[in-house]
Amino acid sequence: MEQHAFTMGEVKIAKKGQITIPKHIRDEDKLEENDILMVTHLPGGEILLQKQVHRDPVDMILEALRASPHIDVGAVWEEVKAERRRERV
Amino acid sequence: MRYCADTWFILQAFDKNSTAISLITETKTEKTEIIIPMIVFIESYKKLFQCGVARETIELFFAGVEASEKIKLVTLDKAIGKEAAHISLSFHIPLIDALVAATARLTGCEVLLAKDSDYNPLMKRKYIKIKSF
Repeated sequence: MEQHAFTMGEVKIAKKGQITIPKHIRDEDKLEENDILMVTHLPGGEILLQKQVHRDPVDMILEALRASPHIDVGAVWEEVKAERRRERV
Repeated sequence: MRYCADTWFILQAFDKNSTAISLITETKTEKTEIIIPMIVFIESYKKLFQCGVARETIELFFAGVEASEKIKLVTLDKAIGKEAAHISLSFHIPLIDALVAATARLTGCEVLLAKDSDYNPLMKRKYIKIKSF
């Protein structure tokens, strides 16, 4: 998402807890009807609203794999096999 | 092709093995599916953590798995449990191997991605095919 100027403002809570996000923010962040926002309630009482950005699940997996350190698969796998054999019925 | 991943495959993927990465990437476009048995999730999580992989990295990997329609985590149910008990006793293989093989069989996987001679009795009886690299 593009960077923009820091802004603050007040909104009034309506019936059933509804609020209106100011138009200039909706326009800047391209928020449209039926978009989903993640609501995070922080321990200090702050409430954050974040637009949900769809991420491809496989991209998430590949990102995790890229971040992984080297693993000595041979040695670790031998450990796993030994543990499994100890639990042989 | 529907594959079942043993912990060995998950470890290979985290070590950036090119074949493991290709199979995962294939799920985006090809008719490739990967099944991850719950016991593999548990074992992999523990081993990766012991290997120094950050918890956030492991969580991101499995969040991707949960969100994917082509890579699926399969929970252990009664049918898999009964099948695993049966083949563990019949083929004298460790219970975890039996749980992985039973999950592969009951979810219709054609190939188990594993490298373990303990599966040999199952291969000989054509219970499951094994692919390693």
